[in-house]
Amino acid sequence: MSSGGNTHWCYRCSRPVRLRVRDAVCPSCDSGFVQELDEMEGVAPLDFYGMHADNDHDQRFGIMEALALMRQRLAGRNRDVDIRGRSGLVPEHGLGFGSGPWLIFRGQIPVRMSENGGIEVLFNGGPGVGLRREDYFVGPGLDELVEQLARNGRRGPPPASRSSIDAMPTVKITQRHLRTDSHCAVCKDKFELGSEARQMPCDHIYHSDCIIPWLVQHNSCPVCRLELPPQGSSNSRSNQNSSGGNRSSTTSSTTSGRESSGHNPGRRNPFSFLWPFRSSNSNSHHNATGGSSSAAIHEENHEMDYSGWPFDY
Amino acid sequence: MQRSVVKKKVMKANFVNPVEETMTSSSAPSRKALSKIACNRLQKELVEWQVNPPAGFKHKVTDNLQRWIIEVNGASGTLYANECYQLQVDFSEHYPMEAPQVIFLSPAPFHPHIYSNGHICLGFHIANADILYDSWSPAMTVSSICISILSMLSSSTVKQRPADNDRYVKNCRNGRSPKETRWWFHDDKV
Repeated sequence: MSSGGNTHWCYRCSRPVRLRVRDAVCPSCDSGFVQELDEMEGVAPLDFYGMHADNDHDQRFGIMEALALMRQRLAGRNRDVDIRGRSGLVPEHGLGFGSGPWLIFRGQIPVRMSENGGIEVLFNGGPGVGLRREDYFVGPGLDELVEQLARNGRRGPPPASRSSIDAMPTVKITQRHLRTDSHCAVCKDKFELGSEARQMPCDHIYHSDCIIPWLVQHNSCPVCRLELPPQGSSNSRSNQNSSGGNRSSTTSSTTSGRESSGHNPGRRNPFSFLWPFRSSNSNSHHNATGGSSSAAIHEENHEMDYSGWPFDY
Repeated sequence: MQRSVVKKKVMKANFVNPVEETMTSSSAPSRKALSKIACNRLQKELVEWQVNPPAGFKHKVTDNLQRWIIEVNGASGTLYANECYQLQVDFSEHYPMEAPQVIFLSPAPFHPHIYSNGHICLGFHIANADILYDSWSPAMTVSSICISILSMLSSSTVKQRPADNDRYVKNCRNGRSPKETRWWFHDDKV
């Protein structure tokens, strides 16, 4: 409500200013990076950073670029500008951001709560863009928000937990294995008799170095898409094999409940007719576990701290 | 008068460029070299392709392992019979942990899931997922992608562009790759 008398918005200073007569430059920074406040009424917040909040899905990508840009700016400047996004980061249909995140400007752009519980960005002392309560994120932790958005932006199933990866049994390749899986489906190399491999609950086996980089990104068997069970469940018959190692038993107890989400049938099953690999194992497992699908698995990201990640060139 | 000039200059200099930079940085030109894992895997796929190429496809031999150009022949008895198109498959350094980027080179076939810039939406309405990018798994291969694309072509009943072609192609102009697009499915008939 304090922008009385101001006529323009200075994008460099990120605040409303009052131009000197006939000068089209900001009085405090002398830049011409200004826009008349009247013209800005009705401008969606995203437009401040050149992002256009078209009513289609593309804005989900725009937000990531906007966030990257914002972070650059924040790094070199005081926090005149704050980023807020959606608090309900759980995508309802496995899709990113629902109706879209919003940038809400705090500080120099006046914002107030409106009577209907929404939030309003005020320009020139009057209400500008109204946002519903569901559309903004309240709370500290810009970094966490950005991280969450980045994680939601990633495609495909969420990562497997470290504990369930660790618990995946290591097996010695025998003739029996070679009859069903002669090659590692990830690297396409032949398995060697007597060498070691990791075994998913669906019995598909992979080289450890091949399957772990995938699981830390997506909890899904590359061949049949079965997920690793949450640690502690009795889903897998050969689960507690010796060499898997339960190094992080404390972690496993805290994460086990959360990850009982099982699978997402909507994502996987429709492709089975196109899937070039055998999938009978997975189907029976799916029916047996029967967990309800949930997207809340985005809470943890094991990729970042997993030491087995081979991509640190 | 003066005001609008100022505004224009401002938008160009300070808005568009940083955003564009961010966008293009993730697309093809700045691609990193293949990792050793990716190299090994692609060499294997190439050998396998030469021994057992998927029917209707021909790999154009180049010395570039990271970008494959593949000729697609429309299957007989379909709308695309006797037509030949080219696919460009680009692999990221992390292949096969990441899906390759697959586009049709111009001229792209007319198809309800293929945009005029060659981007392909190989998705299914019911699944809200795109088998090219959303549902990628490292067990998939160039071969299996090709077969999916041919089956998408073959099942088409009309030769036309996606309904949102113009808007989509316009949005792609600043270097957006098809992998960055979350496809929103038009229909489940094709």
